[in-house]
Formats: sequence, structure tokens, C-alpha cells
Amino acid sequence: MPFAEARGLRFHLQEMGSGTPVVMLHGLFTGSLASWWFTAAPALAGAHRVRLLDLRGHGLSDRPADGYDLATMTDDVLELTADLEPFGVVGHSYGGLIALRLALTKPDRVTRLALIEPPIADRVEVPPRSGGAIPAERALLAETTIIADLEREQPLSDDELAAIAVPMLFAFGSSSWCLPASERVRRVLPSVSCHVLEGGHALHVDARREIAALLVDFLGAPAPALLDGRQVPYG
Amino acid sequence: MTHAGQRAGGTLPSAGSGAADGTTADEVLVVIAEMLRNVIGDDEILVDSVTMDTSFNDDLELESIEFVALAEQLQQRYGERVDFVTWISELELDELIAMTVGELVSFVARCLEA
Repeated sequence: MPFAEARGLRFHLQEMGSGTPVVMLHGLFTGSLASWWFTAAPALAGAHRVRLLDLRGHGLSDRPADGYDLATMTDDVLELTADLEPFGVVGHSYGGLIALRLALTKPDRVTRLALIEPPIADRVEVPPRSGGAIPAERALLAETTIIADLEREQPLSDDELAAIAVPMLFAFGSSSWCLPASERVRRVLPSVSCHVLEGGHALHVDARREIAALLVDFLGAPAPALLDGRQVPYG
Repeated sequence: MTHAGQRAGGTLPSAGSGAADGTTADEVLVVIAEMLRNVIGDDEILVDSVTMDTSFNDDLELESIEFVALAEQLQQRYGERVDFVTWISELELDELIAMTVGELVSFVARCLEA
């Protein structure tokens, strides 16, 4: 099992493919690197060195009691990618917020951002959670400060969003609680690609092949046979 | 490949030395069963046996990250002969969710015979 020690914790990583590096970040609670491993990562691996990370508290990585704020988790990612040349980042949900923070704080490390369902509406929304859907989520909720950490987080300002200089792509689900964020993207970043696809917050699952096609196109890979000949759904 | 609750009944078959380099479906089944024991952990496995009909999701309640760990063990054992990631990417999600041990065994055995 590929594990890396960083910041006093043991993190689980997986890699696939070769080429220019892409780092894929999952969302919180039920997310893990499997979120991308089963969906878009194989398509990107046709032309990229794809690194998948289990964020702290998730998947097979250690689950510390605290440190689920954006600053700490961004620092985790920076350390776990320090050996890579500047890389593209794909982030789902909170993984998208980490990606944005990476681009703001270390713009020299990031070449492109693909953000799937980032919760960047005008206020940070944390959907109500009770109990937890899977054991890992139940443990996170019971044993860590994750909810308190999230509730303390301040949303990115319009100026911060507009200051990000690398190419960006956004995708939102037509039935997702995150959809209002697409309006903010179009208002603040009118020249950035912002797609609405049929699906919910788990858009990488609900629109698995469409998201893979968007990412392959955006990150600069030749379209592999994996994409099944489907058209990239712009719009 | 979802999750949780209590895993259902029994013990896994043991991988004997004869399966060490086995490439037949029966031999691959023993190898995968042993890998599942490692991935899940002995104390969680209550099943009588892992058979070709055993479902990863409904029967073993394998979490998706555990499936990734199983895939990595397969890759380490069989190397490039088994292109597990490409195979997974070509399956639809409902096929992934309904996957049985037998389907994985058949895929591995086909790759090893090629």
C-alpha cells in the first residue's frame, strides 16, 4: 500500500499513468481517493501522471482529531505533492476549495484548476449531517472537529476568486445544493468555463463519463478510447 | 461498492502454496480470497466462503477504498498482465456496484491466459 508520512500523519496515495502531473482531491465525509479512482482518473491517466490522495480523516489515511480547516488541509496537499512539478488540480466539493486555496497561496505550484461542485456560493454551506452514511463518516463526525472546523471557515471573496490567474473549469449538477455557486462563478468569472450537467452533488458519479471527457479536454489529454466516443457537453 | 453494516458469515478459503502462481479461475479465486482477508481484516470476515457468486457490495459490503486496495494487491501480484484500472473504467457504475468475485476472477484469469 503506498503511504506517505507528512506533518506527523500517514497518508494513503495512489498513482496511475504517466505524463504531466494531475492531482485529484475528493470531497469530505463519504469521499476518498476511490471517488476519482472509479470515475475520471483512469481517463486522465492516458496522458497524465495522476496522483490521488486520501485527505486526512478519509479513506486509508490517518484520522486525527482536528485539522480539517482549509489552511491545514491545503498544507497537507502541498507537502504530499512537493515532489511533483507544477500540476493541474481536480477537486470535488471541499477538494475544490482546497484546490482554490492552493492556487491562491501557491500559484507557482498550480497550472490548472478543474472544480467539480465546489461549494462557493456567497456563504459556505454545510449540508446537515446526522449519524453518517458509512463507518468512516460516522467516525469523522464522532471523533473529530470537522464540523466545527467547517463552520469556522470563511468563504472566498469575489476579489480572491478573481485573482486566480490559472485556467479554470467549473462543473455543477443541475439538481445539486451547490448549483447556486454557478451563478457566482458566472458573475465573478464571466470568461471561465462553467458547465451544468444533469446530476447532483456527486456529479463525478452521476455524470461520470461526461466529467471525464471535460477533464481530459481541459487538462490537455488526447481523448482515449475509455471515453466511449461521447461528445464533450459544453454549455 | 458501498459500505458498511455487518459483514455476513464465515471464513475465507486459505491460499495454499499451489495457488502461488496459479492462473486458472479456481486458483485466482483462492488468491483473491486471501487478498480480501488482508484488505478487510480477519476479524471482520464472517462469511462461510468467498465463492464466484459472492458480491463485493451486497455480500462482503466492501467499501470503495477497500476495493482500490484489493486492486493494488492484484497489480502488485500480476503486474502489467492485468490492466485492472482500464477494465474498471470501461464498466458502467451499476456493473461495478453489482460486481461479483467471479467476474473479477474471470477477468484476471482471462488476462493471465492471454
